[in-house]
Amino acid sequence: MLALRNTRIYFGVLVLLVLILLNLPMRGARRVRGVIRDLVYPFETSAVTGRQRVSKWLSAAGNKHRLLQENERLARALAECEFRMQELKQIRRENDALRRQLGFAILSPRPLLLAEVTARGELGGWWQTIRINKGHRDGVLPDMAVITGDGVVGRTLDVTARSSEVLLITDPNSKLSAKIDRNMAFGIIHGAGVRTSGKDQLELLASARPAEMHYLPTTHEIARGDQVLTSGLGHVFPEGLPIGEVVRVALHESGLYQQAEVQPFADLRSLRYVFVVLE
Amino acid sequence: MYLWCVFLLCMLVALLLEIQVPIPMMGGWGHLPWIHALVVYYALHQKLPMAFAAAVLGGLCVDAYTVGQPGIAILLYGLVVYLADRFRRQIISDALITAVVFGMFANLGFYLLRLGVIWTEGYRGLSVSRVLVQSGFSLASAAVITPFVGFLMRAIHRGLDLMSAEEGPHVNT
Repeated sequence: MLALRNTRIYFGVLVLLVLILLNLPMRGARRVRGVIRDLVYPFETSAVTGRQRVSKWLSAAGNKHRLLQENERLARALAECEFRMQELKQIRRENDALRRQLGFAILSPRPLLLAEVTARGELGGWWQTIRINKGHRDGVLPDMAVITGDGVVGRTLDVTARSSEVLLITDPNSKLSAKIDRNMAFGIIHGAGVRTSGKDQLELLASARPAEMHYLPTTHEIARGDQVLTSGLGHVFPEGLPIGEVVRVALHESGLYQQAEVQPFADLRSLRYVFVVLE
Repeated sequence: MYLWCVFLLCMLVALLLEIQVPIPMMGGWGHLPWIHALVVYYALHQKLPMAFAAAVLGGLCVDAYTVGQPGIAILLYGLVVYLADRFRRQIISDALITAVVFGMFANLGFYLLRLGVIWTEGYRGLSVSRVLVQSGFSLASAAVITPFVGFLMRAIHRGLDLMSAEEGPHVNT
């Protein structure tokens, strides 16, 4: 009898907690989320470092195994050389990328904040997001543009003290006002979502599907290869940021406007460093 | 006290594994349900206060890393703990099939509940094939991870001599 009463008390408390959480206003929900994420943040950054070390180690181990098969006598020496070469290549790649990003940051007229991508995807499984290691302590606010040296990546969604969730432009819920650079045709870019087949790779839900640009006027000629830029309308993305290029154009079935498939310039599948536009 | 420390540590490791190890098969957007599996383990094998704590803490962790209103995961985990407690006399909590069924139920339930919420909020870009693929993935991943986590947790508890704190197997009598 006592056990039954305890059970009821526990579940009563749980239901109450759920009701409170489900009815929290947006600001309260963000605060709850922020507290937990900030508590986990130190462990998460350690895990990111550990993951990078493990992946480096695995890569080195893979190379060593291949070299052993190729030449048994020189395997040990070769493996060591290969390992060092991989390390140097990795360092050079990082160096190049950072130099390019730094050059971009210096040349850019807008205040930019460099951030590292710490994780991909939210646990709900439906949204295309990335998480970066900068939050409102660094001046990041919701609805700020996130870019790389190549082009637009997305916009900040949930911002906690030390980290932010970024909604990618390939998510179907991402809307962004854009224009064709060549003839100033304006339109709206929607993410096209994920692909549900994987012919070329073992991927059930791939992310490389291009975005779609809608409401392009029929009076303007749009061609494959046209560059697409942000229009500056909508007050999230500053004007003139490169988004991608047109890969296909078609007249919408209603006949009222054209729509185009746009391949983003930024490689959204291998993002490591991004910039938040602090404007 | 020792048991609670192990509980907190395991929950932290599960969370880090879940947020830091995306699945390449899902284009990097999928995650293995480590926290679901841990909550299922605590629901099936531990006393009610700890199972309840696992539901609340696990739910808070998952909700914190999910876009949208928090509360859904706690609701679902609460339901899992409730069902485990309600049918404690009818199920063999040690059986592999029980863990698998509870894990699959929890994971699929989470995906579909979250889908329901975002759909009512006007989420775009859903297709039947995507829902099917995502549901299939949630079932398959839970079917693999839940028993694995169960065995691992039993081994950890056995290694640390914490088995006496467990409720032990429940057999239909």
